[in-house]
Amino acid sequence: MTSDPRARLEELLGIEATQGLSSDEATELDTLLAAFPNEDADALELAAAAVHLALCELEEMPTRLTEKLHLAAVAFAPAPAVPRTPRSHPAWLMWTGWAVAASLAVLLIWTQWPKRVEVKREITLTELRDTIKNDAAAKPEMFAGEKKGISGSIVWSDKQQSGVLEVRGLPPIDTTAGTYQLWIVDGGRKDSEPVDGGVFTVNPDGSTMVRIRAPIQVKNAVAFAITKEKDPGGVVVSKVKPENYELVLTKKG
Amino acid sequence: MTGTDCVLPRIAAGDPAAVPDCITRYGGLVWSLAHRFLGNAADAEDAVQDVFIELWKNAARYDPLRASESTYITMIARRRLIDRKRRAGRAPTPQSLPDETAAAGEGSTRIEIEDEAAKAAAVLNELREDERRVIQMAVYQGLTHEEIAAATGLPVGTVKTHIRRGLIRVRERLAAGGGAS
Repeated sequence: MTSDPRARLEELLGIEATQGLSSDEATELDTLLAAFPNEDADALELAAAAVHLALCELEEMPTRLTEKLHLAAVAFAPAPAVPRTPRSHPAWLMWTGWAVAASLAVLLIWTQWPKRVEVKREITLTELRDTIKNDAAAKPEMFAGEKKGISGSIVWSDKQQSGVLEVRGLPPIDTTAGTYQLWIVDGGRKDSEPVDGGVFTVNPDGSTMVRIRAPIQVKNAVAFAITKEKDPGGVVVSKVKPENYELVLTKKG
Repeated sequence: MTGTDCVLPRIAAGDPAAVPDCITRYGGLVWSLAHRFLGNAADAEDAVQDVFIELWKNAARYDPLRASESTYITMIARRRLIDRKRRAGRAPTPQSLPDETAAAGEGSTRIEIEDEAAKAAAVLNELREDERRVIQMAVYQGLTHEEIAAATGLPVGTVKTHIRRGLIRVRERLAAGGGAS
């Protein structure tokens, strides 16, 4: 260790940039930075980052992780903000948004909307699906997802506030013990809260086709998620963790 | 990428579309850093989520005049990854993972990241061979200074000096517009 404060400062910045500092070293660095206020504290970290960037081979992020991040992004409502101290964001806080949104959605459903998603004859839903899909004026968007033998697709129109969910491979559920519930992730909401898309069950072969109608205005659907809820009538607050979602359907094309 | 094209200032300004844009642009980069640095997919997934949440919460801290967005994001990611590794007792050392050829990120962003990487690679190649080797072991392989000393036969003090001088030179050259392709 050098006794020259300036050299020691550079040494500590080099250690910080490559292997991190112990708490004692971090304290020492803070003291030295206070003594050399013109020193660029991030310079060597940025240099190390540039080197890492030069050597890094880019990989594609796993789809599952992409979906988790997009759901976390929806829970994160950006707002013009002053810099804050970098502290980890508790997971429970991120999902509080889900609880609030679900509460609002259920309240609106209770007052304005039938509790269950209306399931019509398949041919009618097929026609509805094709009508939305082929109506350019409706600006239809396609969503799809796949997980452990479960697959699903959705055609949805923000303009028409209507869509159709098709799903395969969902295990049939005892309706006295629980239900499947659909959630709409609306990127256009100021509070970025998800919207309850209704509850549904599946046929014995695990398939179903369900009409989706949002109880409140959906401005920009960016994803859909299916959860399994123990309450037969659906839930106000979903306690299901994102990694345990039955299926997440993200935008395609 | 110009400052006006960056997503972090848009997040700081409260643009709700900027957060998913940030994932689309930099998801592949942050995942690649985490996957290779930690060598474990489950740890890497947790780390990637931590990094993005930190980026979103502290988006206002990014200054486009000081570094490219991809370099800044790499710096934030490295901080998190180094911290994780220290907390885990520095085990295990990153392993060689199979190369994957899939594209990462949007085409234009990938090109911008690769352009930044090419500039840094050019500057790295200007360093002396021993400095370059030590920096690669420290930055990319995540080896401690002591581990590098053991692997190269150099005294620890020399390893530290190579790293410090080499990084200062990289920073100076990049700040001066070096490595421009």
